[in-house]
Amino acid sequence: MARLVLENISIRGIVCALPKNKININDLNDSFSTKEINKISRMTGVKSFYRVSEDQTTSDLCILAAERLLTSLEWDKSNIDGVIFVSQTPDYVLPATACVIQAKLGLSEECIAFDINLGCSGYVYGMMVAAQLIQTGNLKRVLLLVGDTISKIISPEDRSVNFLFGDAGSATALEFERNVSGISVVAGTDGTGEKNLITPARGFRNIRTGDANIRKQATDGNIRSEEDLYMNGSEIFNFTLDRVPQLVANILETHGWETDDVDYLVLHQANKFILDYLANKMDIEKKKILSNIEEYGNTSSASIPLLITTLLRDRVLSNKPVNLCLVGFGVGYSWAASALTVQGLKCVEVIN
Amino acid sequence: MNKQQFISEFEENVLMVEPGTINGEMILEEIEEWDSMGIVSTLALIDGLNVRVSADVLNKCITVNDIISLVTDKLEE
Repeated sequence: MARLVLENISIRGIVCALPKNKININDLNDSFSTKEINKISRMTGVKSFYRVSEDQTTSDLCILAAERLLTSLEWDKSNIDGVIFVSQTPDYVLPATACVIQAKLGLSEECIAFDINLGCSGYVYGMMVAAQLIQTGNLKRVLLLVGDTISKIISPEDRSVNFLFGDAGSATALEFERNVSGISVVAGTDGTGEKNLITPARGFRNIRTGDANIRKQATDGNIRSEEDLYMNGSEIFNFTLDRVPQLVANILETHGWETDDVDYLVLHQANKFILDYLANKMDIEKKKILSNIEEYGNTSSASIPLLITTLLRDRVLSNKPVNLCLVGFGVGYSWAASALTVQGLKCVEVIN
Repeated sequence: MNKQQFISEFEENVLMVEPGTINGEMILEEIEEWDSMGIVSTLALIDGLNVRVSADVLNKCITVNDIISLVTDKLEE
């Protein structure tokens, strides 16, 4: 696994933006019985989530979050050196959504802007790339915009995904600062997992044919099209068991921490069953493992900033240092973890 | 864990049915509670015995005994 230690980076603030619509999973649709939905909910831990309307995109959520963040931090838009958009639900295949965001936010033309196409591992990846650009001092201020609207690519008649995913966007402000504690990152990839979490017909490998958007019954009994998200939950579970405990051990070793040094383990909110199982396998106090999946569902790349803003707000706003271990894993397969100490953030909010 | 305890765990944590309702000869497809979530819970149950199999292997199991045969070496007499 790749191991990096990044210096001279401070996180100034994190804002998450949720869609207006909060949906109880029992009110979602009538293709499934209450009994079946309750059984799914027991396993996934999800009782509600927020989902966008048809006319709202991931970038819209991220822009809302970014506007609030810039205002709170009193950052001048002409002084933003870079904007990185991490998502698997961009506005277009091209142009890059980050370019669209640069214009909509009114950022300077000096600003670099690009997208990163990753999901569950995306927040940590985005932080890694932003930190690389900042640590030399060549870029001083970078906006990291991370989020997904997976609700747009799921079939309402696919029980494996329909009751699991929520939408959310986030904005994180990173700034060059000397003599702050370093951020460690460990990351890796196993692309043989591509087929287990995929939308087969939205790119250029399987060129769109006339019936790509026609929903049919698949071998797993669910009804979806080639343009809908497919998830093989059992293989994802196996992948998680294979990778995540080792990933956590590696990031702690890289950063020179023992498990006792970690104040909070911020795990991507895959589903409750996976999170509980990992918690039992790992030698770390249960109270240090955060979860908010019950209210927000699995928000893909936004799950880590959403945990921080919903559950750790007061903690990261305070001037007392807090040691976080952020762990993203999933679609790709791709995984990334970081260890960092944060304190005194200027802005931590959830808006909707 | 012995075979009977494995079946009890399978009843309680995988199928969530009353104790004593499942025996080794039963055909999985005919058990109403056996579904994709059951497969994930079974992967967790057998991982607890330090056995890892792909979901495909589980999907090929016909009876409860076929699942048990995956972990026979790890069960006590």
